[in-house]
Amino acid sequence: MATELKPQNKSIFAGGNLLQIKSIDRLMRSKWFPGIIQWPTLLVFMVIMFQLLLGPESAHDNLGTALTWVLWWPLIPIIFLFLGRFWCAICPFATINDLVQKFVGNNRPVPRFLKKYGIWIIDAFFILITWSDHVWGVVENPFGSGVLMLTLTTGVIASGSFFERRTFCRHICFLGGLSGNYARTGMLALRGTPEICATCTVASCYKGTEKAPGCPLFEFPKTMTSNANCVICADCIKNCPNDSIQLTMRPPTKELWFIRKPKMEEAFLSAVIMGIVFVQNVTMLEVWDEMLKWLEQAVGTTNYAITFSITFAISIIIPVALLGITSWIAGKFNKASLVENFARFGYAIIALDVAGHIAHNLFHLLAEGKSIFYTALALFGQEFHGASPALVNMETIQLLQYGLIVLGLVGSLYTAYRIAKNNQPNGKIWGTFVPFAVLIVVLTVMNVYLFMLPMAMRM
Amino acid sequence: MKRMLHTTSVLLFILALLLASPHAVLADEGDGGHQLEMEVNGYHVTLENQDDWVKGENTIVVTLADSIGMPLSKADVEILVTPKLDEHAEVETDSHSAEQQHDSMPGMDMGEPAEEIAVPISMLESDEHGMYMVETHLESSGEHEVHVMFHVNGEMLQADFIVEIPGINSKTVVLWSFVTINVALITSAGIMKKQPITVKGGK
Repeated sequence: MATELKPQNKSIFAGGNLLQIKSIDRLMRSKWFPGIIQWPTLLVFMVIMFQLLLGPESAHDNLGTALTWVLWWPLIPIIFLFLGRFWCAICPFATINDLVQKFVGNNRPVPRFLKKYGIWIIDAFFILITWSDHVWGVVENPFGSGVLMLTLTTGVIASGSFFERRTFCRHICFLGGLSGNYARTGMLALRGTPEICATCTVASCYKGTEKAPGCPLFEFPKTMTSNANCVICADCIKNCPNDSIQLTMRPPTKELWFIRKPKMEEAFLSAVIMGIVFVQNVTMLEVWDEMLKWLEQAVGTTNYAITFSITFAISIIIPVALLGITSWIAGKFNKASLVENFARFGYAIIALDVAGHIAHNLFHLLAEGKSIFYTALALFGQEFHGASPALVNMETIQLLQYGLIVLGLVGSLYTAYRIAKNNQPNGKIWGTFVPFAVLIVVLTVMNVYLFMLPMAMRM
Repeated sequence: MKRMLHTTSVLLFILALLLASPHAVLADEGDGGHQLEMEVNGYHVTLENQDDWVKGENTIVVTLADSIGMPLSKADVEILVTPKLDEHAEVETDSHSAEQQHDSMPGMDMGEPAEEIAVPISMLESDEHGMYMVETHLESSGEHEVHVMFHVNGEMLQADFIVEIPGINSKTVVLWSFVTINVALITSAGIMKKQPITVKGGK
């Protein structure tokens, strides 16, 4: 058993433990948490599934489409920013995993290849799903969206049936990979208190107790340095016999400043996400038709799968290649290899990724937000033909988009500076920082330019 | 408390399912097609299918009567059946979306490509007065717009209906495939499950 050291009492705004606040502490330790949010979420998910699979065939009339792609998808990166991966704690797929596991789970260890190549697999899934969305029209087609959800459901049922904890969420879920990256910018952090954990030998947080199961995502708060795989389910808070766990607020992006072991696959994902934000924006532009026609003439085919794949590949290659070139240039100054710089500074563009992602989806949320009410009221026979789905006007949306991109720019620049500073203690900070700063500015300009052009809607 | 929460959840779920049910008219209820009725300028128009509305061959029956219920005979009646288009289709500017609409909502098969089928077909009056029939082939399932046009005293009147063609489609196959796979997975896991392992993940 550990000593009686207790976490220090500091203001919550100065990194103090949020569990000092009794209401938060009670909520986190309650046996109803996170179930009280998890079960209603599952209920809503079932309604969404029902609508997607058996509801109106037109996306415009489908509540499932509106709730998924106009409400949930735009809100998700905002949740990651403020609450880290908390969504994953209440995600309906995770709940299905847990339910299946409870009744028929074989609890086998995670396959070695998943541990080794998990993030690359997530990267591949993320690219594949985004590609298939465009080629098969998943978002515009309610049934297509339903099939995507069913595929994920099958994945979690397979995982929950045979493998321990939330293997799917940790090693396969494409959204998990995205959220892992985004959660690093998050303002909420969960950690063990080093002095207390150092003397602990029971590891209840990892193993679980009668109060709660062990960490569903295989994390060990004692050694945890990142929130990428913490879903803030509070199981460790309930399990820890020493009250070592702390929940703190931190400045956005702070975690990115101190990545101890940067991973190439995570840095690659951050560049890929930037490319995907580009492609999402490009294909929504009103000039996309003209671009497509030009491409069709250039490659000699009107096959959309081919022309889009080319656009998609170019969009992804651009940020990856730019990051690679910048890493090579920076290597001339800091003497680090291209791979080292790529892995280290790839994290710097995550802030811009998050900003671009939120900004892109802000258009859907604010320009189509009322469609959620319209499609919901249509269930009660109320029709709103011809009514505008916009919550605010386009000028306001664009202003917010630019504001977000500027925040992303500042976050990314500062992160790149801190990474350079932490890795170049002997000077040469600016030689390393400046090439990446230029890259971040270039990516920002590309984003701003795309947001300046008129876009088409989802609903 | 826990039981109450579960009961409430189940009730809410059932309610949600009821509310979430597709609101389009399903035209496959009862014997033969479900009747749809409409008043146009005092004329009563009834649309039904001799059998069930299906993807494939359909015999559409239109009955016309005047304001006092007398059958409207020897009228020039035409019908146009088209898959219902997304009202916001025009705001979707990428050709991908347009291509998809073509894929998912092909028109009636009257020996013409989808773009050229928007031509009304004439209905023939049956032995019963005021009843007009035509056989047609519907190539797709889903919501369809049915426009009935008839001429009275030199004036063309039109009644617009929406019907949903259920059809046995790939959706059913896809859904049952998922059900089968998931049931198989859960059953296999249940069979393979050994003695419960001590607390290690899962909730």
